Amino acid sequence: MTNIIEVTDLKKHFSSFGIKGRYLVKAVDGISFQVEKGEVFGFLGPNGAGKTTTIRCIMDFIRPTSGSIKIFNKDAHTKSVSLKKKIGYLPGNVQLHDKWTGQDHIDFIESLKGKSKDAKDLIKRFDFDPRRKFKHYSSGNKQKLGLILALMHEPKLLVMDEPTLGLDPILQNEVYEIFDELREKGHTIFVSSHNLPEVEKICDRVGIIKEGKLVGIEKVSSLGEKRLCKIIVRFDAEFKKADFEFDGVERIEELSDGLILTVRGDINPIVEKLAGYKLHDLEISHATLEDVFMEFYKGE
Amino acid sequence: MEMYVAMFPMFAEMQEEFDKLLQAYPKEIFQALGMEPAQFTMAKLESFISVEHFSLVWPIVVIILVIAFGGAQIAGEIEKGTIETILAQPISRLKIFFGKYLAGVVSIIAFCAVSIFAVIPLAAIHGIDYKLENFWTMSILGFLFALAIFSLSMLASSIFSEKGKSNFTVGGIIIFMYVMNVISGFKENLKDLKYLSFFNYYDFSAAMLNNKIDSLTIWVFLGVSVVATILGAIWFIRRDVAV
Repeated sequence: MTNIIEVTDLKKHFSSFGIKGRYLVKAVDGISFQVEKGEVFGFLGPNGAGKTTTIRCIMDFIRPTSGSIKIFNKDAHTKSVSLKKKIGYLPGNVQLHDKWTGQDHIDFIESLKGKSKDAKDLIKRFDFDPRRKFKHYSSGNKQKLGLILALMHEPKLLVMDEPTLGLDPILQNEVYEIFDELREKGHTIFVSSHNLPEVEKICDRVGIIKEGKLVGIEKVSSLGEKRLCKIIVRFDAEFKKADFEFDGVERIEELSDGLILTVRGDINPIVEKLAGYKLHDLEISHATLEDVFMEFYKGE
Repeated sequence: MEMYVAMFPMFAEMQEEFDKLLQAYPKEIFQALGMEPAQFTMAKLESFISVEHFSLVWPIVVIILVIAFGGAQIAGEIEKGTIETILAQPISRLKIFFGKYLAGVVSIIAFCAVSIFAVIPLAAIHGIDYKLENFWTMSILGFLFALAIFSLSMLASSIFSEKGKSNFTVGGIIIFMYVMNVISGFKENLKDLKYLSFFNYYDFSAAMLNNKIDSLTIWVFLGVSVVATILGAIWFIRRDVAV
């Protein structure tokens, strides 16, 4: 398989100043990974983990302290201009010129990258009105414009930070469909996200970053097997805690009228056990992404 | 501008009284303004406009405009986050810098043309004699003065990530220069401080009255512009741009 992105021992350290004087922030501290041609690679981690710093290094907005980044087998810094002809970029927080209309922005990007064949189609697909000024758009519409600008030249590589932020479920699905179309054409997508269901839906592999270090790269299918669920159950009558102590239940916390169960993997045995009780309330939620990561990597 | 031109005939008629009044002022007042009493004559349109317009109002307006414009070009874009979309395009940082610099230069030319040559049609309407070549010379001096400050502003804009910091820094430098120019007139042993000030080289009365720009003025303004622009471009190319 051809590597489209190749990050090797990337470090990005910043000097910062606080009450106790100057100190070093290791935003990214020696990460290495590859993204293969035609795959959707998710880059996951909690806030401040180093996701955006890594993306900014890939896009050559900031320069690594050490290490190397190759895109299409070319140096991401020295060949930045030619590489960006093939890259579509969506920032985490789409900020454009307030007084320009959506169409002004599209025209501006066309003046730099050439006429787009897809802009009109994307405008239609996202149900976007390009005649309004940017400052008058809602956050969802700003995101739509960011997506149109990133996608309008059918880039060979898409680098996106939280691509569906602020979009309603219908438009989120539209974005996923576009990703599928690009993947079928052999294009590569690098996406940073906090959203586990989204990552599971669209990504082939995920890289998990914590405190500037890459704690693992997994296929999404194997990540799903390690999924944690939190079940909050409140009983109408007496209950036995021991009934729920079996394999897969990682932790049991007692409430005055119920239990909080942290369950790994299959929840059916718990549901079957609960069927024998009369319940006052039941809530099943996925554990946060960070809980999953911490659980999965706690031994490392 | 219309107001100045319309008022000029009245001031011209009262020239003798004004001259007597000016001679009665202490010379320190003129030193503080960096001017000679003879420059205050109201007999000609050029001298009247230079005193009323180009001595204080025009430089203040142009300083505020070019500092604000320069600060918004890079630091303002970083602060707002719009720079990311530009940097993500297949265009080098050098081209981005000089594209923005060129936009500033064009704006300065437009401002100088409008704010200086607007006198000409107004003078014609009011039937007042004027020397076109003196206005050309003033426009060149004004352009060079504005260009030097704009170049400093672009340098600061390349260094900082907030336009407020950029504007504050260049504004501070300009105020420092003004103070140096004023102080240099008070004592003989401080007179060389004037060479640190753009206001020493911005000799609007020589341009408007004598149709003259000192060659040192051209070298200083162009030299500062070139050096500040090169440093600004290098800094912008090398810096991290994190919004």
